[in-house]
Amino acid sequence: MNLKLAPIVSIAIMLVAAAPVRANPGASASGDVTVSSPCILVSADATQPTSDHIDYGTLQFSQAYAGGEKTSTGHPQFENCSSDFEKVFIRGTDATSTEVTPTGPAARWSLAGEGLNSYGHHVNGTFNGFELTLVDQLYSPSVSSGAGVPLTSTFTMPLVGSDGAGQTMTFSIVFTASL
Amino acid sequence: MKRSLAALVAALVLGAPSAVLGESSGTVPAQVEVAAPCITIDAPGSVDYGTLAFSTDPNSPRIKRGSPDLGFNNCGVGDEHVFVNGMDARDTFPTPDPPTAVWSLVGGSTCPQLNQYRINVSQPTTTGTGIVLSNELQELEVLGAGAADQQSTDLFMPCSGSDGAGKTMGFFITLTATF
Repeated sequence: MNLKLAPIVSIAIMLVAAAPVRANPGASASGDVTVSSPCILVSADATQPTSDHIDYGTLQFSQAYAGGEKTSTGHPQFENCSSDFEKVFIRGTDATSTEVTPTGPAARWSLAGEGLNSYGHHVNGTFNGFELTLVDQLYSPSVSSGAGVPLTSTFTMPLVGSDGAGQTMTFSIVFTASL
Repeated sequence: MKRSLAALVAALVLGAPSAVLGESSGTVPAQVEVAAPCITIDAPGSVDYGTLAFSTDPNSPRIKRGSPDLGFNNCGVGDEHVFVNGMDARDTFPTPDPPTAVWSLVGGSTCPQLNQYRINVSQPTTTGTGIVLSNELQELEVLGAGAADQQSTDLFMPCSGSDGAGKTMGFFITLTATF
C-alpha cells in the first residue's frame, strides 16, 4: 500500500510547488462556492408537534407465546433541512430506567428484539422499514431537500420476568444525515 | 481503499472543505411506563369469624363463613393471575410477640389432631370446596384489568383440646397478583 501511495503524494507535491510558476500576476479572477452541509430536523410526534418525546404509554411485559407481544406505536418524523439530497441513517439506543440506584439505573434493556431485559424497536416509512439496532442503518440514500418524512415506530416490550416493573424506561431514536 | 487514499491526499493538498465529510443528527427521545401488577383488597380489609367453639366431631367439624366476603380488585392495566395463600394462626397476631397458642394451617381434617385449622376459599354463589388454603401460593383465578371479585372464606375450627381457648387467634390471607 505504501508503494501505491508514494506516486500520488509525489504528484501532489509537485503540483503545489509548480503553482506559483504557472500563475499570472497580471490577470486574476475570483470565485467562490458555498458547500452544502447536511441538516436534519426531527420531531417526536408528527401528529402532535408540541410533543418532545414519543410516549408509548403503560405496557405490560410481553408473554413468551405467539401473539403474546405487547407493543405500542409512535409517529416520529424527520425533515431534510439542507439544500441538497441527503442520506439518512437511523439507529436506536438501549433503554434505561429513570430510577437510579447507587450502582446506576435500576433497570436496563438491550435493544436486541423481544427477550429477557431486551426490547424491540421498529421503524417503518415510505422509503424503508427495519428493526433498529445500535448501529446506523441506511433508511434512504436520497431524501430530497425540504422533504418531511413521517415514520411509524413500533415498540415491543421485553418478556415477562424482565426488570423495570413499575418504572419508566427511556431510550432514543437517532437520525443522522449526510450528503 | 485506493480511492479513499487519493481523495484524502487531494483534500490535504487542495484544501478541500471538510464539511463534505460532515453529518447532521437529531435524536428523538422515547419512553414507556412498565406496568406493575396491582391488586387492592376492599375495606375493611379484615374478615371476622366471630366466637366459635372447638370442633368435637372429626366427621362434622365446626365451620364458620367469615364476614364480609373477601373483595379485591385488579388495579393494573392488564390481565393478572391472582394467587392466594394463608398462614398459621397465632394468639399474638399481628404482633411479633412469641405466641402462647399456634394453630397450623392444614389442608385436611382438623380433628382428631390438635392445634390444626383450615380455611376454604370459594365463590360465594357456588357450592364446593374451592381452594383449600396452605402456606404456599395457589392460583385463584385470572382477573381482567379493572375487574373486581369476591371470595368467601370458611374457617374450620381446631379439635377440642387445642390451645387458644378464650383467646383471639389471628392470621393473614394474602392475595398476590402477577402478569
